[in-house]
Amino acid sequence: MQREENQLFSLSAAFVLLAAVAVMLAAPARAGVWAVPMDFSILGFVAVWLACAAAGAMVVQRALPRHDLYLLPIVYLLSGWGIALIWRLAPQFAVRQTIWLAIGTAAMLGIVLLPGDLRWLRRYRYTWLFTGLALTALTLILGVNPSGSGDRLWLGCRGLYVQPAEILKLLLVVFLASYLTDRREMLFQTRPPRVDPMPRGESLIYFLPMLVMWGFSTLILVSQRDLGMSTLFFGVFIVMLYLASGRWEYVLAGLLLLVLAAVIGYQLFDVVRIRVQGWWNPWADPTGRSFQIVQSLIAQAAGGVFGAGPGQGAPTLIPVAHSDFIFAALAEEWGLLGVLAMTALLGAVVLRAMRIAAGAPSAFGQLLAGGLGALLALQTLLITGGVIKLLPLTGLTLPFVSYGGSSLVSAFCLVGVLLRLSAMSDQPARPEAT
Amino acid sequence: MIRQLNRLTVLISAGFLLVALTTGYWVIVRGGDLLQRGDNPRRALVERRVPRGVIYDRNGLVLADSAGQPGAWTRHYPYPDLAPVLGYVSPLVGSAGIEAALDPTLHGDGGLDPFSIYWRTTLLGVPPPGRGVRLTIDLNLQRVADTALSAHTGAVLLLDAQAGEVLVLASHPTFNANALDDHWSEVVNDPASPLLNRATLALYQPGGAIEPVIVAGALANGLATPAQTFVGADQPVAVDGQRLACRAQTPGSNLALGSALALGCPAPAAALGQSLGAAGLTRLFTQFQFFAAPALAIPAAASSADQVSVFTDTALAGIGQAGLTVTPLQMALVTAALVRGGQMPSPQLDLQTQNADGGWSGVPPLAPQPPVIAPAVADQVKSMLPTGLQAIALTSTGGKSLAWYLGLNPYDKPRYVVVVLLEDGTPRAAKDIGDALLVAAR
Repeated sequence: MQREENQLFSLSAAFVLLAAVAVMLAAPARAGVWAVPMDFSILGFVAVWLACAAAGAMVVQRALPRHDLYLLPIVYLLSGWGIALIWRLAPQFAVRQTIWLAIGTAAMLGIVLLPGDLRWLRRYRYTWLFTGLALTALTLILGVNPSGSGDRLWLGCRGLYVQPAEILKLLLVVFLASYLTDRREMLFQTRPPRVDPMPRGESLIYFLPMLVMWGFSTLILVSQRDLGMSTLFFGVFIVMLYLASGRWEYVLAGLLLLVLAAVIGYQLFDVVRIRVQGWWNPWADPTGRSFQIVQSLIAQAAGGVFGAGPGQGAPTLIPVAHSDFIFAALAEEWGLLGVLAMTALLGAVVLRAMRIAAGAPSAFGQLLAGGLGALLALQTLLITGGVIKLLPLTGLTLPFVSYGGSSLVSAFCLVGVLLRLSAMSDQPARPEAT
Repeated sequence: MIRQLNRLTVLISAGFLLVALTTGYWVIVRGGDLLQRGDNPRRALVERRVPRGVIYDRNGLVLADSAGQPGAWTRHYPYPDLAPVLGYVSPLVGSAGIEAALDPTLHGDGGLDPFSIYWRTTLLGVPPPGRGVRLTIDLNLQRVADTALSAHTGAVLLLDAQAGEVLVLASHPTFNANALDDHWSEVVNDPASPLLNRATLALYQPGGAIEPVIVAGALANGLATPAQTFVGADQPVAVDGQRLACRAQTPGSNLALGSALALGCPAPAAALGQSLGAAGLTRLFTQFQFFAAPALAIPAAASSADQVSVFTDTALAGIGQAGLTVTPLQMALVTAALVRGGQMPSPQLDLQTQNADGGWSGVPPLAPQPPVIAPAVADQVKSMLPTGLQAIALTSTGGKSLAWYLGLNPYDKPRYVVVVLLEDGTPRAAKDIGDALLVAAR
């Protein structure tokens, strides 16, 4: 079993090393001569990546002998590929991303090594939620932006910046999974109540705290103009409501609410108006407000099927290509084939999460793994959809790949929880809560 | 919950599939037109790695080449004043002029089969190298023209009347394409419009310069004879409240057609304009290709035939003060037609292009056009302007006048036709510039 995982790790390592050497050789390849100064720093970053992957594999294999075999090789492949892309697009950020990868690996292993099962996650749900909300609320007062201007979504201390919303999104899934598992019966009346039948109207009361929590978190984000996170939160909320209840009405109602929010946002907030107009008709203002999306589409076209080659294209023409638009940069240099490969890898992580959810021993585990999988899927779809003009642009990171420390650590924490859940799934099934 | 999870998995997979399909749509279906966009600088960026083709003058002198080192080539123009012809090419601001018009050759992919381009670009990572072009421009004569024109605002054209080759094309003020990226906003916002090619794109009032055409029309239609004497030929003509009088001192009030033309007296041409009538004038100008933009490699303009309605004042139309406006290039072609028996040459700027194997091949000459006027009439008009024609045109902007000079050399079998237009000079100054150029060309 673990031999299979190690074989997958070897493939990942071979690919990442190949990608690193390719971007390193880009400079002489562009000049057409060898006599140009070459930057070997990428090899150091790959060495750190290799150490992280090896440590991750060894610890997880010892601590959780029966974990999911596909998750780790895939997410390390994605993060290594991401480092090679970031090094090529914005070399000054590669060192930070590598440090964050080490922190993310440590955080993931911390979750993997925590004693006991994950009941504590379920039990202290309000603690988690309020911690996340408090940190996010703190950005309203102390928020900064590491680049000096723009939305102030980060908390900073001595050059280290954290985006609390990235942590909040995980805690929100934990909270929803716990809350919905406990209140499932009452909320959705999955089977006739054992005691006195409760009037339908009263079940609304149980919805209230959840709606308040969701409303509060959304409010914080809207007030910070973080469109991507708000949409992501709401999307995850709808999906988890559906998972717990199995009712399409909730999805429908949620989508209607989303449209309503979009219409109101369009009227009230410039940022929404710009994004929607830029999505609907970017060709109207290709040098101004729609510059980024138009350049992104041109970059994809320039890549063609096989791509310009690592380091051979001009994806740096797209503003902040290393973060939100890394998918377009990938399309230019690695081509449609690279896009298909990365989409398939991200899709595979989501499918593994769904598989883990299906095999989870408890309703809470099912909901938690399903929610985390949905979180990854929605984030991926929102940002890639934005970059390819399928959806209005919502500034989010591509999980595991984009530059962004908090995002990377949060993604690895998510993998840690999934690994824990996957290790439980093959154990003798305990009686379900419901 | 398993059922919900399965449905969610299907939905998410569909979403990922949609992302892949949409990217495929941009790459495969829309790829072509996205890459053609003006805000895609990739084509120009490639030329930092693979040098662009060299532009030579007709004698093999370098007009544009790539300077710098591999990986950082930049376009270099040793003779910046030729910018109205050569244009510019830059990842930042796009391209213009010959650089834009002959880009397929200069960039290197024109005429190659798509497979070999694909092979080189994708698998070897090196696009095909740029190929050279040779222009009809004579750099030595161009220097003379630019020096003579330096202080003025205007345009100079020297045409090989027989071959239609443009030997000199100067437009002042001009810009330095070597440092265009740094000075772009300055150049664009310059009120003197240095980016405007005054020789091919600026439409000017022809004024007296149109009179040879009017005379040709009148002779061809039997409305006048070369020896005809006009009574009161020195009378001024009122143009929009201004009085347009003879340009030079007249020996008397009654002048022959040729003398009136030479002395710049407008009255006879105004009378002939009236005789031709609105329909006759429109026919005449159409015949002389005034409503068709000349097919030059770089963009050239022409008046629109819709302005026919302006010819209600046929007297003013006869002296070039009505709706018709012309470019110096059009005047050069018309003059060439009149001095070579009514045959208007096709103007040409590109002489030879380099093949993929390094050899050179000539640009095929254009098919000869039918004469714009009967040869006999053309010869009669030519005899009236033996030393060239100086002319004034009044503009609508507050008494400002334009100076034209149409010159030819040698007289017996004219090879060179020169046209000078000054926005800020006298016909005399225009003549001096033109004659200096004709002397240099001899």
